[in-house]
Amino acid sequence: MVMAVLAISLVAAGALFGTPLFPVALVAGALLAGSGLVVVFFHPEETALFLFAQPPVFLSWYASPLLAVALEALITIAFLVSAGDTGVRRGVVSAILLVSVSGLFALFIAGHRHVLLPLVLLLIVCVIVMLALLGTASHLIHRVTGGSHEAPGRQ
Amino acid sequence: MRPSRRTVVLLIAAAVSLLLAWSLDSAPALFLAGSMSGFVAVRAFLFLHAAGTVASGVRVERTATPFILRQGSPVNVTCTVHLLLPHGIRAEVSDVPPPGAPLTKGSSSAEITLAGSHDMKLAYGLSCISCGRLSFGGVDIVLHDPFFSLLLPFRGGAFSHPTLLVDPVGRFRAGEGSGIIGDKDSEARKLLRGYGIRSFRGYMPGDDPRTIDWKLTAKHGKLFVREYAGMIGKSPLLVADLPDSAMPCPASLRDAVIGSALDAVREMCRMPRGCSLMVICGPNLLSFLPNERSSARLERALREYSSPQQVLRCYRTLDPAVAEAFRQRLGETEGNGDGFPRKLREIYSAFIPAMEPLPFEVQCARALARQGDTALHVLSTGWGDASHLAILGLQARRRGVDARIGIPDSAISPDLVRRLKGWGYTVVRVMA
Repeated sequence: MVMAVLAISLVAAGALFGTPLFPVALVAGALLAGSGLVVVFFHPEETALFLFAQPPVFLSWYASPLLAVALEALITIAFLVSAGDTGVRRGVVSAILLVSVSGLFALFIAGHRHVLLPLVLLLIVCVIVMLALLGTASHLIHRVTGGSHEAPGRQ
Repeated sequence: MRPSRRTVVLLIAAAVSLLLAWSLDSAPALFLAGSMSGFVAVRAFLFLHAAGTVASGVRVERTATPFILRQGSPVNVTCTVHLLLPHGIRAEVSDVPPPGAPLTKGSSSAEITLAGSHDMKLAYGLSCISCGRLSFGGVDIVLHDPFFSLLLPFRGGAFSHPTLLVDPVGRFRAGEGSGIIGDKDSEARKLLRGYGIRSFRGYMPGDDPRTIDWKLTAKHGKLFVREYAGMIGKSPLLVADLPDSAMPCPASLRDAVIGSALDAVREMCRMPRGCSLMVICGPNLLSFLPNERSSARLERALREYSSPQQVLRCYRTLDPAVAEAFRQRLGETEGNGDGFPRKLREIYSAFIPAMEPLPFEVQCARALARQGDTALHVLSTGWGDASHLAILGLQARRRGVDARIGIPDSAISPDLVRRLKGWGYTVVRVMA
């Protein structure tokens, strides 16, 4: 995971070579890679490393949105592997879905001058997805309880 | 569905990115927020799909030994849970014992971390503190993946079998002397001849010559006969008066009555003439089993009607004989010039001829008239209206039947004892 953070930092800095953001990317990459090493040494936590990789991805957007998508997919897959979710089917499905969703979203954002419309759409989609998740979970629990929620016990 | 700590962190990071995107009009921040939210959503859908796969393949087989038991007795439970676990999912399986039955040995939960098909066997012991029909709560399976956890409560149907039949504990000694039916030394001379000699007396014309004690006769020069003592057993009629389930009667009183009744019938059914059981709920006859020797039938009758509903009620029922006594008493006091007793006497005179016995009175009379030598043992909560107890007591007194009643300790009061004595109950006992 820390290697993925390091690689993403290097790629992001390299992509921004010759632009005003290059020194920022270089410093940020060095700081985050160092912090990642400290985290790995003292308290290994995949989520923290995943979050450390987000600023280089953020900066790589200014080089190319597609590069940002690729780096985000890379760090996400590394996150999944290091979190122990190494199942073949679920891992492949997760990766394909994530790359597709983030790629489409990046294309959508890149086509707009301001973020207001994509942001509103994202919020609406989040609400719909949350409702769908709640509905699915509720249906599942209703199925296993046999449709009755009364307390068992003395009859 | 509960998010894990790392999922919460991701959602917070996504929210912060969203705020940055909105405040700074930053497209990459919005991209990061969308990516992280999408990641969490995809994981949630995949987790729910895996949970659905697990839920559709769960089977439970549970055995409990014994499943008919007394309150406080131990039960050995073996529960086998079959489930198919996908890769990356870990499961905690717990068998939910019936309420009021704490775990005494073993463990009712276990964890599976490996993917594949599993037959998990949970063996543990319970102690049934509650009584009645106790069904198992089901099986709880908590599924975990690195991002979410979900509790699947499998309830009802096959997940709650078997049902434990826990009889309440109760003790009721129905009579004096030895034995549950009140065997006692009797002086009945012609009814029976035991092996013990109670006394000697002088010979009287008509005495059986075989009873003459020749040694004593030779010693004193006068005919002496032996008087035998023996055990006389009355054929008892046990009446279990169950409380109306629609009324807020404390469960402890009901359990005391059912427990005592079960305790009594188990002993009484071994007697030569079996046990006669009458299950009532107020003035409603629910079941009558005369001279029954099968303890299973007797216990089934008590369990079947453990929560009855009182259809008929007889608040302040007046017996015709008692009404006639009132009428005569009013006739004696009529001379004091007050018009009210005279009017009341006229009312009594008008409706007494039209009074008909209640069905419950007829039923009691028939049950008690089966044989002349019957003892009546009533087990009642003593809670609520007691008119039916008055009817039972009066019917027993009319037929010269010795009537006794058992009342739970918490329900007994001096006033109730006084009333029960007035209704013809010779002994009022406290049920443990």
